[in-house]
Amino acid sequence: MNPGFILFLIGFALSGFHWIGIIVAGAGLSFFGKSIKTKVLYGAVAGVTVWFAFIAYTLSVGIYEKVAETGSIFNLTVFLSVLLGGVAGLITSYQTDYR
Amino acid sequence: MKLRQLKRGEFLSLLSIALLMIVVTPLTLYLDLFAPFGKFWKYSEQNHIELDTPYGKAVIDYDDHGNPAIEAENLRSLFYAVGYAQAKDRLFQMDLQRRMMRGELSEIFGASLNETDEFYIKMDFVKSAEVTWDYFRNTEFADYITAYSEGVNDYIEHGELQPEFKLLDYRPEPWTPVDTFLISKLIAWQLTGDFWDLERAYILKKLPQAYELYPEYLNHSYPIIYSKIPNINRSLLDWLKQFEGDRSFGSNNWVISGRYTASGYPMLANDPHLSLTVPPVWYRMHLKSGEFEVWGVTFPGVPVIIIGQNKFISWGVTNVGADVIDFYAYRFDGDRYLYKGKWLNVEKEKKTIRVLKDGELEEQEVVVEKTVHGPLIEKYGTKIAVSWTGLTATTELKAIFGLNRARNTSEAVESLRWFNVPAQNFVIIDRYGNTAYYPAGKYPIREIDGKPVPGNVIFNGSRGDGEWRGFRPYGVSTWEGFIPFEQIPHLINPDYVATANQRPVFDFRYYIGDSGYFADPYRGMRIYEMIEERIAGKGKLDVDDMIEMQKDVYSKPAEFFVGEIKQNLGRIPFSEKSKEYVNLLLQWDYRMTSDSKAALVFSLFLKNYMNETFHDEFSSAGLEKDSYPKLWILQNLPEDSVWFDDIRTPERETKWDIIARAMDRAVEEIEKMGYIKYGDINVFIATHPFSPKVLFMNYPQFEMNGSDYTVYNFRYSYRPFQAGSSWRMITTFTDSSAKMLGVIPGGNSGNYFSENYADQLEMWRDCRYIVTEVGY
Repeated sequence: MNPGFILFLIGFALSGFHWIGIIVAGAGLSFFGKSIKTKVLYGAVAGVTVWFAFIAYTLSVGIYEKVAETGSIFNLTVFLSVLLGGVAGLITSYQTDYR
Repeated sequence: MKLRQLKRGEFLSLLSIALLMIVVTPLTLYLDLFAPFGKFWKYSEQNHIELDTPYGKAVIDYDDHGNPAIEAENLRSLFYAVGYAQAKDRLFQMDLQRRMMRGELSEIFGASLNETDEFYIKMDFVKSAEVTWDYFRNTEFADYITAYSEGVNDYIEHGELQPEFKLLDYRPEPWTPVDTFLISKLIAWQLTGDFWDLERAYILKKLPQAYELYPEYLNHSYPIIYSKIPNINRSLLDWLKQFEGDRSFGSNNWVISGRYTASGYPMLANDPHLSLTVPPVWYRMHLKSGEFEVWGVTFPGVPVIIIGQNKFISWGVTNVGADVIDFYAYRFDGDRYLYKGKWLNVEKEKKTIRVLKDGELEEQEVVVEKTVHGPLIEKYGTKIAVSWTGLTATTELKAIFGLNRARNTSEAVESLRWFNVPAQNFVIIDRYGNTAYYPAGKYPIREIDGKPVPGNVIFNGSRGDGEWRGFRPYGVSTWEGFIPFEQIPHLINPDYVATANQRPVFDFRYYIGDSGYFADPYRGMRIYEMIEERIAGKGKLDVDDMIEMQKDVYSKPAEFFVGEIKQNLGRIPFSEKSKEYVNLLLQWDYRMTSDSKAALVFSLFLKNYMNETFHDEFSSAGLEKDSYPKLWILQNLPEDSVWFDDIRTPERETKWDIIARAMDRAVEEIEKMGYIKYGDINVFIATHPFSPKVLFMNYPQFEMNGSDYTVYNFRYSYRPFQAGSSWRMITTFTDSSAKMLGVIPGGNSGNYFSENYADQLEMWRDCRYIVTEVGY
């Protein structure tokens, strides 16, 4: 299995306990990116994936509506997921070779 | 050494790490809380909890509405589990309330609550709770109260804290038995901590002719039982008002004996009117251990049922409203005060307020001062001592335990001997057909030179005038200077009785409060009227009748005031514009329903009628609207009363001129604001303590029926909360069971994420109930 994907899975699992997991997952998935842009995009996708998992969790414990009604705090979860994942995508940009 | 030039990717990689560190470091708190799966979102609904307490096993089972049924091997494990359940559902509310009483609010909310803390520290409620706990230490109840505290602390240590703690980023201190008594003192203070005596003194100083507006009695015929001023100033009163109980709090309860019920068993209804808060003031629970079984509601922080039922009896309460607080002025000489010919030192103790400022705690010193009568309040050039019956060791908890265990009305009444403060109108029924009414509490007898005097004045503390014999603030009182329990007017086995905070009895030999302390009689009248109509009609009442009565929105003030307009229509110079609105009133059925335009007109007319009558005199004397007299006084003023004359005009206005003017003001307000029905102003708005900074924890808003003066009670104005029926209960017995219908305005859980956070709101609005039925 691709090491980047393994790192993503580890990060994904870790995100259930700590937000560091989003960074790890973002960094892991960004290995699939070939340019700075795609790496950031892959990182953000990892963040969004974690966010969807979070939504699934809130649905499973029956608090989704309450979570959504928090308004700006709910929006913050999306923002933080994309921000952390996207910036984490840059971590693997050392692979790119532009001077 | 020359460093290698970084590739762009390497540079970006390092930059991203730096960015993460820069972004993440200040955001750590937010990330910890609000990132997906962050602490703020941690929640799991637990409907079945098994506890291995140090005293035995206990099981907590929640019903669909989040009401816990707690069963345990013995009473200690039972109360341990009660503490655990209350902490799980209401810990933030409990912590906030004890912080208020301890003067620790500014420690978490900042300097804006500094003055509140200062007041509560100066009153030294903590000391009164400590002496109460000292009293209980050597009783059988000490083990239960201790077990309760341990249960709370078990949850604090091992349970998931409510979102509020996470938002404020603090962990509550361990719960102690003293905290339980602080909650008890808080409730008592909210119901009887009243600065009316000071305000009355100020009103009469500024407007001596207002004496007639605050008579000793309101001259009505519906009592419960048928049959030299110190420098009080506006600044002091405004400051004190923040900390006194809501004077407009009222409540209803009534009992119907089996003689007038279809089942032949007595029935009881109760709805205490308190602040409508988020979460609600009451917490519903059902407790069982061996023969001990009781259900109903309590205040979070208190282990036993305060209003409820067991297999033998049921009881309900309303506030008597009696005057159980007095004020004493002295001759001072520096830190000494004159008391009965001797100069005594003011007792002083330094305490500290911790105030949150810019994330740091700053300490401020507060000096607590006391005299022989109680704490000294010094503000705006006035120094006055306060005696309040709750400032000594009090034994309400013993009385309530007694009610929880009572097996008939006699045992219940006997336990009320221990009920000290706040004086409450207890109504009790038992399954054997007995009924009782007892306004239990400690009522001080004031004397000057050996003669009884009313307590609605400020006493000369230096002479020892009016002081309460046997009362020891912050100690254990012997109470000999109080009305003996047997002499408190009461009823045993009445066919029916209704209390709605009206004066309990006329022509009682002791002073228990002037008209400022007791409610207008409208609700009491209406309840008696409904009972008697039903008895005269169908003869026997059933539970549906009790529900209909709790739903009743008929306004007695509307009947009186609109009735008077009807009778004097030709004499009232209504404007052309007003006449269309007056016609609405004339065709109205006097029901305060949200869809009624007439109810809207009447509500605003009444407010303006009061204002148009008294504003001129009161405002010119520097008095505020909240000093206006009771509605009953306005209703009964003769038509040529001087109060109807507007002192700002050369003409002599009469009652009819003022009614016309008030109607014009009401119409102007309706048209200006675009109101079309009563529900446009009568809106339920209950806010969480974090509001307006955090809005999502507020309850949903909706239009309401009812008013301050209807049995279905709702007050839309804030003081500082809206108020209304904080718990609706109907209880009775059958051949084989005890039955309770009950509902609270909100949800039993204080946890925002719980499905029981607000699930009873609509039921409460519509007078639908959750039924508890327990077989014998």
